[in-house]
Amino acid sequence: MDNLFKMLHLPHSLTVSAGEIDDAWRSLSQKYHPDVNASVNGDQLADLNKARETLLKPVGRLGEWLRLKCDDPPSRNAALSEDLMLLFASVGDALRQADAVIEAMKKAQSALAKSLLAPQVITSQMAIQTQLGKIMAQNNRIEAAFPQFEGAAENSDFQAARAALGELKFLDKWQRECQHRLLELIAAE
Amino acid sequence: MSKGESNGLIVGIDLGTTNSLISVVDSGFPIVLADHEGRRLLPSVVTFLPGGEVSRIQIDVGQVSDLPVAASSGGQSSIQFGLLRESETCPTGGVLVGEPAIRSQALYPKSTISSIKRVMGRRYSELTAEEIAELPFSVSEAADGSLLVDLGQIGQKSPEEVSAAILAQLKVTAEEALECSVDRVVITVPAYFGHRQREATRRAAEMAGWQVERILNEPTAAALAYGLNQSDDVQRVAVYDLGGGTFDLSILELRDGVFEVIATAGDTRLGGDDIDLALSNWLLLEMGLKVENLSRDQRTKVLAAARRAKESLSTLEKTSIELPFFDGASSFSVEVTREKLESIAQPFLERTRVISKKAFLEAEHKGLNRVQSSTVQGTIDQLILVGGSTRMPLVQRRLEEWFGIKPNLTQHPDEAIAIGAGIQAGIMCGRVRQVVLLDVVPLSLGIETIGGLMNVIIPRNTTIPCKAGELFTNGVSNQASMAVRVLQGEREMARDNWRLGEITVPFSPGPKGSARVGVQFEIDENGMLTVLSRDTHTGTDHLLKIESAAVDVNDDAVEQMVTESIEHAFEDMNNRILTETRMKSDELLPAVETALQLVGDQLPIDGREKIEAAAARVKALSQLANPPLEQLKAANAELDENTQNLAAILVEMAMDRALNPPT
Repeated sequence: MDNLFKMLHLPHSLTVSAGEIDDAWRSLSQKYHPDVNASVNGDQLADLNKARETLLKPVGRLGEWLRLKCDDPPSRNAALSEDLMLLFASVGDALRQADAVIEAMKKAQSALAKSLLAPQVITSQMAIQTQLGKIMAQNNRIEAAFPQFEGAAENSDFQAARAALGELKFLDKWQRECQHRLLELIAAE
Repeated sequence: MSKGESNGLIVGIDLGTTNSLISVVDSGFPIVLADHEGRRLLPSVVTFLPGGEVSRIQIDVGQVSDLPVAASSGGQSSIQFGLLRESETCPTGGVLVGEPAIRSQALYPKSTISSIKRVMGRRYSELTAEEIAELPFSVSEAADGSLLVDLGQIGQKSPEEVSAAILAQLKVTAEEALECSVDRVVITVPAYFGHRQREATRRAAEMAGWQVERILNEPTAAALAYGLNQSDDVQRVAVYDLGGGTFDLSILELRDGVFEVIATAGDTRLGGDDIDLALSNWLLLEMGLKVENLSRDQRTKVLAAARRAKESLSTLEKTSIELPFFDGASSFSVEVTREKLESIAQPFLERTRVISKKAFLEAEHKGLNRVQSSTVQGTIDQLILVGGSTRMPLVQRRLEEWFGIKPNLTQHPDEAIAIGAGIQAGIMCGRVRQVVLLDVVPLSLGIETIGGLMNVIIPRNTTIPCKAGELFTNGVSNQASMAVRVLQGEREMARDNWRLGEITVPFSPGPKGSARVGVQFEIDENGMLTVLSRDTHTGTDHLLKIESAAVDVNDDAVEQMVTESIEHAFEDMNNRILTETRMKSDELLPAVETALQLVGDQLPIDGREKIEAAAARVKALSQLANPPLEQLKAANAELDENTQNLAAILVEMAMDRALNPPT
């Protein structure tokens, strides 16, 4: 696999900002767009798109950084912090509640039957939004520690970074689930 | 016709549900080309003339020179209809496109086709009974499950063939206007068109003799038309595109010459046509006529009158619809106010609101790690309106209410998409510089996995071009291959999504679990999918052909019987409609009861009585062992209609409670 930082002509650093990633992608995509450059096909551009998408997410950036820094495979059973265990439980509740409401809305055929469900739809939307906010806060908390991981890496210490990667992966998954439910709740309106 | 060299010229086409246009970049400026009469909008209407009747038509219609008739026996118009002329199903007759076709509608109601875009790339089985009834032409199922348009005595045509006639006509317009041959084209489709609808559009263009250089999304094209002259460094724009038959909302970022689509959402079956139909249904009610007692021809007349009324109500407060000698004897005159039209259009606009909200939410999710939480108002700098239906004052008013931003009306709603297609064509042939466009996949792509679930490989709103892979292994030893279904859509269950076809993943022989085959999905700049497989042991790549789903029709039927709920298994449409109708009654009756208990006191007395009377009628009918379908349907519809107010009160109450929770 190619080095995603290098692909975007970026330094191999965890602290590269979203703006820097976007700018790098934009100038390269103008050069490698098959519409304006007859000597390329869409392949390079597809790689650039993938690199940008991956690095913009903290989980992707940390994953790629770790992959390049140390060869050890990521540990499978990293323990979750207590914060995340609690979050996991509340996310699960909100998702189940949303599923039940979505199911009922899908069954309803008339505007009247749907309107009777409106209070539940709104409550459920707010519950999911709350969870998304919590997930976001955890994401930010972990991302704030990225400079420390850079420091520790100089002493070949990757323990904290790896634990963080495990947590970010969970957060990423929950975030996607919540976003998915939120869209379904809106579509059901 | 003497022809100049085209110099690698590429033109842009907006192939619309109602109108089609063609444009080109000339001396740096995009322009829409006019035909020899100066018309820039070509109505997307086609008449197929019966064989041997070409000259009679010319006499009948009385405007011989006006008719771009292509007589396949004549040969002088061979350019006009390219491959279509040679197609086996094309009878020895001519074809009229645009205004002449509209004028010959009365003569040839069965073989005059409008709004063909509604069925492009659709399979017959995908259409609901209601959709089929609402189409302005009759359709039937072909042996391979695709859909054919019935033209009466002329026979049948595929939607591609009908579209090809329009595209061929545009080619004539372009070649006459530019005085050179042109055969390369950028052609626009609704952003929310799926793989099959795009393929069908491409095939139609090829039938008409075009070489398709790019399939471009309509709202993206409109954004190009808007953005080319903008000097601001960074702009976020939303394009609200409500055309005749489709709705799309796309959110884009324009920065340093890069036009990046962030998110798009839409409905390929929602547009001005729906408003026309609803208005014409209301009209019939006012006239005391029943839609099922009318001929298709009469329905077309009412529909056309409804459309004209809708259009004039964009500027007038009221208008009257005249239908002289409608059924041979009686004439009708019905007055309709803008207010009435708006109450009819409102539910359709509400649907666009929900879809728009989805797109904004997705854009926010996509940027979640970049732009910290944002509201709609804060996210976009411009809201651009395109599509003829956005001329309705109601649309503009509602959008301002919903999004808190004044819509930008600087784009010509009918021409923006064509202009954008012309600009993209200009980018690709080097006539427009320093601009590139990056679009997204409108619908998720995936494969069917164990348990009939959809496994998403490329999520919607991923920037294209893109690629993503999946690793497969053999489930039994020495398994030679594995069949994988390729799906498109957003539903969890595989069967609820569009099935694009099947790929066969080859394995090299070996014990169970030893094979390692990576399957790579690639979506190119046109949004078209290709699938490659790579055996990681041998390092060989194969291009996997996506076999069209026609093969597994039987397979489908079996699966449906086993897994689907009963209403889908009915072969007989009537049974299916009856079941759906009864289910609706069963749902409405208890809902009315509950709703009246909750907020019945907020209704005016006569409103409440109306609802109770309508509910009583539904109840009486639904208790019969064999309820008369049409009556029950009408009673349901009446109850549904009469409870809209009640529903609105309930939703409002729910929102109120959410904002100000009771203490």
